[in-house]
Amino acid sequence: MFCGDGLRLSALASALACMPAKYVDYSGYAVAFAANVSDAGKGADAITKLSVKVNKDSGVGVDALSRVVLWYRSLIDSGKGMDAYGRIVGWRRAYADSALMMERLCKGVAPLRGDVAVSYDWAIKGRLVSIEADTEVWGWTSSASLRNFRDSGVSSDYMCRLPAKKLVESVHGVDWLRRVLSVRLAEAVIGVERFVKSALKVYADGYVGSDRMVRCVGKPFLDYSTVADYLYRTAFWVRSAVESVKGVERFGRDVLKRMVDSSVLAERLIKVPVRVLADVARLIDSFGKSYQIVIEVDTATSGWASVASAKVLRDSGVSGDYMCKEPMKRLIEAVYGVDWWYKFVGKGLADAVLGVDWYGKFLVRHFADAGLSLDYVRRGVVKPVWDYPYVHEYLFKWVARMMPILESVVCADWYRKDVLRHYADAGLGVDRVRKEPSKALVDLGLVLELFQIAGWLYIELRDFLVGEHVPVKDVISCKADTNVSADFLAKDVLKPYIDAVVAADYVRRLGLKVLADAGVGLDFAARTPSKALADAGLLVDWYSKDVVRNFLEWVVNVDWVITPALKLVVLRDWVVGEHIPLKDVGKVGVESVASVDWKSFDLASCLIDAVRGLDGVYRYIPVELHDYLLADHEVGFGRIWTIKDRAKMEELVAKLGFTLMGQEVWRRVYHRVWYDLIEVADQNTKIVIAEALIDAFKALYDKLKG
Amino acid sequence: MSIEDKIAYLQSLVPQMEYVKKGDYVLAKHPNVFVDFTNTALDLLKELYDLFKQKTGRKLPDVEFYIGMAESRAAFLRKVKFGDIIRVQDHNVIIDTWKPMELAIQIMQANL
Repeated sequence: MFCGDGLRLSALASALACMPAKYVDYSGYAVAFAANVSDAGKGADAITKLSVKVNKDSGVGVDALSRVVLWYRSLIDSGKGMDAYGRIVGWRRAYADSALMMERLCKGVAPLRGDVAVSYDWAIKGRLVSIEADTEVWGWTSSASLRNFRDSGVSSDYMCRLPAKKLVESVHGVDWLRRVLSVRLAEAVIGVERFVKSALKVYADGYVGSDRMVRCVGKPFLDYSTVADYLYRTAFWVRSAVESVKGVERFGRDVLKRMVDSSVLAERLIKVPVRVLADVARLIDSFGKSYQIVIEVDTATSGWASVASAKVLRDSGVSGDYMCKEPMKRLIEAVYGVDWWYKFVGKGLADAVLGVDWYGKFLVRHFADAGLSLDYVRRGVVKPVWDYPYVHEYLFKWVARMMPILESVVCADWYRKDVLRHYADAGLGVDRVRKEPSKALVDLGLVLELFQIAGWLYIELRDFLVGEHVPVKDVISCKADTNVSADFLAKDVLKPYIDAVVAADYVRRLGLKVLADAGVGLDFAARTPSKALADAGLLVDWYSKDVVRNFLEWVVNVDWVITPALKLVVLRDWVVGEHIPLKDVGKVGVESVASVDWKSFDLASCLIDAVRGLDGVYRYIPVELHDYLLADHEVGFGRIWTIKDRAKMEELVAKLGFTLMGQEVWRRVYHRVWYDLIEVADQNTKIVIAEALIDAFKALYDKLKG
Repeated sequence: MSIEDKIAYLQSLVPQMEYVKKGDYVLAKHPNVFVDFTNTALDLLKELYDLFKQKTGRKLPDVEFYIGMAESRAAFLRKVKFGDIIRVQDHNVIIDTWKPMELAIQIMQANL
């Protein structure tokens, strides 16, 4: 492919030229875009119109910036240029004046010198002739002639000295002229040098400003990304908060259901022992009545045993009655206690659920408002960049908009404290509720112990009746009903008691467990919203601080972005406006310096470089501005406008770039690492260019090595 | 590094430049390799120009101008990492830096 230097370079040039040919790729995009537009319909059309409008607005804004606001700076810069220009022109005029003076002086001295010479010659000759004549004629009368001769000699001498003096003076004048000329030349050189340095400095400042502009533009967009990221996180948190509220609500309902179920179960369980006790009471009563008959029947035959039995039975009847009444009383109290506990806890839970529900709705709404505000803020962040004349007013309004957010923070803080107090009260109530039924159940446990004692008593009674007291046993054995009753009493009555004890114990344990669960649940419920609210408070606090900080940074950055941007625009205007004067100055400088043969080429080269460099800056500025307004603008808005519209935006922005700039189409798309598909043509073409560059380097190096 | 080392380093970077096909994802190494290449190529170009001045005893203002232009543009080169957005400049600055480098090479070739 690269068989010669020319071919290598031509291949490199061709490969580089391929990059603008990405327009062909965009044509492919255009086809896809057309299809997408037909598919997307009104949405794409709206995006297109909006983008066009934004670009027009940005153009108007930048135009206004360049023409109106920065004219003053342009005047200053042009004043500097004119000052340097004036120095060169002044020097040139001085040089010309000095040349005229020199010429005029020389012209004036030459005839004077000629006149002097003629006069001298004439005087000498005239005097000599006169002396000769006088000598010849007068002979002795020489004294007068001598005096005249002397006088004429003096005059001649004087006449000779005068031109010499004039010549010396003229030489001095020339020397002075030369010195003045040198000074003027030096000043001119310094002036031109200063001018060149100034131009170069402006040129360097242009690059620095461009660099700063690009960096500054990048930073706000990073901040926008941070804000967007924060928005996403806030939305995530709001969703989490909603879910947590739902969870707490679900938990509360579940606890309530469990409590209701446990209450029903406890009531059912309590009713069973009560019913059993009632049955026992009836049986005992029946048993006592039956034994009364038996005792009455057997009194005559059983003697003291019957009396004792009767006493025992009577006592057992009293005990049974006591046992029936006391557990029932305790159970009823327990039921009342459980019922009260259920109602109280249920109410507390219901209040808690309502509170949590209210909290959830309030907070979600608050954060939704906050999200909308942030979203609005984010949408409004980009626009003020090109609405510069309205930026300050907008900022003041923005500060005003921030006030509700701060107030909402205060409100959220108040809310957090209030809900915490509410939940603390609920916790105290629940704790009290938990203790009260516990006390009732402990009493119930005591009652059940009485049941056990009663069971023991009945066992003792049975043993007494069946085993140890033979006479009675004999009597009882004679009475089948009595045996049956005793057996029934022993088995059927005692067993329910034992069952009742077990059931009551189960009830107690279940109740305690439910209460413990409820306590834990309520505690959790109380803590969870508190924690969530505390987190919410922190988040809101952080949000407000972060937003305020971002806002302030944004204000600073916008100002910082606009200042170099304005500077660049001024530079552009200055280059455009002073382009011709600059060339003229360069031309004058070149001509002036060339006339005295004073490094004319270097200075001219510097001036030309300066002009070319400024021209380069000038061409670079609209590219940067264009990239900023279109590409980064698209990035900034790309997150608001859905990603699925990105392909349309790429094509749209590429077309706008071509239309607005009228130059080669650069890539107007952005990529995200590991998120987007790569541009095949860009990547592969760049590899080809890199290889061609290496070949060109090698060829040049080989040629340099000779 | 000497000129030969720089050329060898540039050649070693070429195999790291992946030819991609439609549907491939953007990876951080894609632009980063070109950033390394561009910076090294710019250093190489400056050394070649120094060698040119030593050999010919002449200065080429245009070459200096283009080298300065390439340097100023190379200052905008940026490496990216996972999740970064590869902006328009990240692509265009590479091409913009290569263009004056190509012109400088052409001028030096023509003056040899």
